[in-house]
Amino acid sequence: MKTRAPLGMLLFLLNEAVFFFMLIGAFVYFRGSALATAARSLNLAGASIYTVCLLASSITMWRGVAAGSRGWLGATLALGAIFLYGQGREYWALFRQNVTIGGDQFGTTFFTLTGIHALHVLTGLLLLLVLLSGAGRRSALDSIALYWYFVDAVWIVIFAVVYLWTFV
Amino acid sequence: MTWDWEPSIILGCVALAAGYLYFAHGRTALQTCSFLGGIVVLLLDLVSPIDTLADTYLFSAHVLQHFVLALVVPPLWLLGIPGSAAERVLQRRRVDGIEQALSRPGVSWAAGVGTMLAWHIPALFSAAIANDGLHILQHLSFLVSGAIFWWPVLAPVEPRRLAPLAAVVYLFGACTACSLLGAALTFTRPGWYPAYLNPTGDAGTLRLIRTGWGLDARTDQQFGGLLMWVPGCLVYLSAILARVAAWYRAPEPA
Amino acid sequence: MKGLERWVSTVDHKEIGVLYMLTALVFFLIGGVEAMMIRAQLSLPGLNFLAPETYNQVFTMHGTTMIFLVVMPVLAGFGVYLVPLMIGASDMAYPRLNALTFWLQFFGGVLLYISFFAGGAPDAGWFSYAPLSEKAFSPHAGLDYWALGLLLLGSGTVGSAVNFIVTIANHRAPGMTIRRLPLFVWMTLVNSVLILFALPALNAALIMLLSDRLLHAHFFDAAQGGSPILWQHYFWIFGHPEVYIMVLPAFGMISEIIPVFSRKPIFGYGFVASSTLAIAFLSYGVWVHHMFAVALGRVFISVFAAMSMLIAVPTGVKIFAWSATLVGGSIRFTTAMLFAVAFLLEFTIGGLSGVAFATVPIDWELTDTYFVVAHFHYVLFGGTAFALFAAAYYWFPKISGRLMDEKMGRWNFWLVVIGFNMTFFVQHLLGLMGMPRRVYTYPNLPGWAALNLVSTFGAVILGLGALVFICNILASLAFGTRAGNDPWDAWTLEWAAKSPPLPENFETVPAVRSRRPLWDVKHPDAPDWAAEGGA
Repeated sequence: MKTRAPLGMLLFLLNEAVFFFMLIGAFVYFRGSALATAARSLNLAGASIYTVCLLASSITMWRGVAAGSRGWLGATLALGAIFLYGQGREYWALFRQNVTIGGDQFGTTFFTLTGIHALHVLTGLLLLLVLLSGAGRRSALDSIALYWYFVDAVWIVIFAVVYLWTFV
Repeated sequence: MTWDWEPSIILGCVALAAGYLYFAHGRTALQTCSFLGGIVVLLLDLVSPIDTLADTYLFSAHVLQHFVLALVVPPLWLLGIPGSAAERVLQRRRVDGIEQALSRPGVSWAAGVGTMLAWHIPALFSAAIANDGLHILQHLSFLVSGAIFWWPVLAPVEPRRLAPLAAVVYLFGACTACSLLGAALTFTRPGWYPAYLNPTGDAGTLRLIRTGWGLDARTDQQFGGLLMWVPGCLVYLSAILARVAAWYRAPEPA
Repeated sequence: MKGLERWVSTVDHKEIGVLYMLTALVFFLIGGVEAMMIRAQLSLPGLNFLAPETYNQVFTMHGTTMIFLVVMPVLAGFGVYLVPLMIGASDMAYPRLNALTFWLQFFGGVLLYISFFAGGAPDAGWFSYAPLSEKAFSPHAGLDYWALGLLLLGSGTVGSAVNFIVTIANHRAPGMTIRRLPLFVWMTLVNSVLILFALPALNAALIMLLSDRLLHAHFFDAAQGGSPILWQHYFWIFGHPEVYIMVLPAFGMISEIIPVFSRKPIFGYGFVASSTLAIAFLSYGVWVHHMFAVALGRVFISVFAAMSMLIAVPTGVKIFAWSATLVGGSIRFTTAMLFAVAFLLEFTIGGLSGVAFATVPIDWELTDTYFVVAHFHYVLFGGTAFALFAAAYYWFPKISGRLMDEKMGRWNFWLVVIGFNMTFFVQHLLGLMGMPRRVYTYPNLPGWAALNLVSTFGAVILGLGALVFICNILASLAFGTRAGNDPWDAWTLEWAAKSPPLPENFETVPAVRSRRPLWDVKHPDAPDWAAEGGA
């Protein structure tokens, strides 16, 4: 019998890919009316730093799976947490500028898209936590790693569409 | 609206037809029809009023032209090559080497899809309309990359073809890519290719297009996107179904 | 409470399958009561049996219940029960996920119905168009329950799709290649891929709606820059594949039942299998036909009109294949077969009315009239529900160990067929005469009252037929003739298991060398694989 976990996770991620595609689509759909707010409110530099952290966490995850080491997985957890912290800071800055989900189309689409993504990151961190605490099955590591790479890949697209496309 | 009987195109098609008739031994009647049909379609695509409309007036006509170059002509040609002739050519080591390199699914898929995507970058597309040499290169690249793309699906030699599931994924992926581009063109504002916003050409033709056919700039871009999206996907879908149907017809070891 | 504890905590696919079916049956009765309320209110013009606001809640809940709490769960239930047996496996790939997806669907349904007690059920129709669905126009919480309930249901459905694909990919008995899959299993596989691509569109739309309603976002709220059309696009990108999701497993059931009671293998197995793929792919390219009456531009809708006509072709291929299977067969009219043959006729009628809508001017005339209501009931009830009745009679012996009573079955069949056609055929006429859908009453125009009364009368007969069905189930469970492993002399692997099957399904799985493994076992002198296996 082939290993079961990865195929199931891959299929689930396929469904998640379509889901994020629809949310990104809504962001792009409203981009015209959102662009002004986006350009003046987003912090590209800050977001880039946290993006790098998230991408690095994929590398540490890869090392963690290859070496089976808790250290690398712990680093993944830490880097993911830093990413969420960075997102939180960006949200806080936006709230202070009066950019909220109920504000204009930028707020509507930005917070929904990045918020749902952040929830996915949080879920990934919780999964890692369960695994590291010893409560989870070791064999789930491959699936969790796949999930983590996916969440990072989605962030690359979101970063490009939301941040880079606004400023470049 | 005129026919553009470009001598180089006509000569090229004649030469290709002659070469085929001379070199392709062991071909069936159906294969002959397919290959020569592909040449006829190519000729029409490049010399008929479609070409005039595409060059100057209508984005959607240009999409149609490229569609034929990438999705109609190469498959007709590949289907027209007899297996025995292909095998003989592939016996030469150089040719075999090139085939092995280019027919890796990742490579051939990227060649086909990449060429399509690249030429739709506004700067590149507009440059090709403006520059004749670049335009010829563009058309050639669609033909060549189209042939490379379709080879793993329609290779005349059975063992070089993709397995059924791989073929389905390969074609479905291409269908998704052209759908995304087509949908983007359909749903976004017109003006990706400024040359078509206010075409400068014969007033009679312009009147026919804008008033007679009702194709303003926005509808034209929409239509071009739709052509890429829907008929484009139908081509890929037909290929998928043909492959799957053939798979079901094949006998299975007990 | 040992029994209850067992049922609540089970991860056995057969028990979960039964849970799905029983829950769906209960919601079918509830949805049926809602339907009767609708028909009662509409039997004559100007009635006040239901207040207008109540009527809106009732038809919304009727549609949402039938689609999300009856059809989808019961198809999942049959799938979950039968797929492992048909491929010679001992359970699904992920038994605990299997249980989870059932309970998600169960609690999604409960959440939906709590809305009645929490300020009112959702009342914006089963597809909840914006801006009606926005807080400004629907301030009460009913739509929040709708969205949240559907999110739970949708997640469950996605989970079950993942489970099906992995099960079919990895747990087939040796010798059962993809080309030898029973068509019910193949359709379930394709259907699961459809689900993976379609449900996320709904989930995204629901998240966006909830953002609008609860967090004051502006996705669909035109006054603040949002777009109601976006909701329509997103919903129907889900909604059109959804109708195929509701019918492909039914096609699979018919593909199993008709051959067995014709005593012939199915005609054109390869065509039926490939056309299923065609339907799956094409289903993503037709959604705009639900929006022809929205000013989207002629070129745009023409392309989708053409695609919508095209998608009728692969389904036609299937109808042809099933009909051809009947020709020259030695037909045995069990109740299951009666329903299966009736399916062919009813579904074809539904398909024809559907294709009519692909013609844009016809759609402009008939959209949002009772013609639509007639169309989708013909495909969903005359189609899927008839196939489910057939499947119930066919597989009940396997599930329970007893045969359903054939005499009651005849009553069931005729009451349902007569009642169904009486209820819905006249609705084509009402639609052509201009009666709009989702109206709590109508003016006393010539013919409208008479036709509506006929429709209501038909609904009563249909309801009686459904009651006979329930009685048959209960009576057969108690007193039915013992069935044995293989009461129909069928050919697929589930009939090699006991009735009901052992917990691990099979002691030994029969060898699989063709599409009809049990035929090969029973006819060692003329097995299928000898006749150049395949095709």
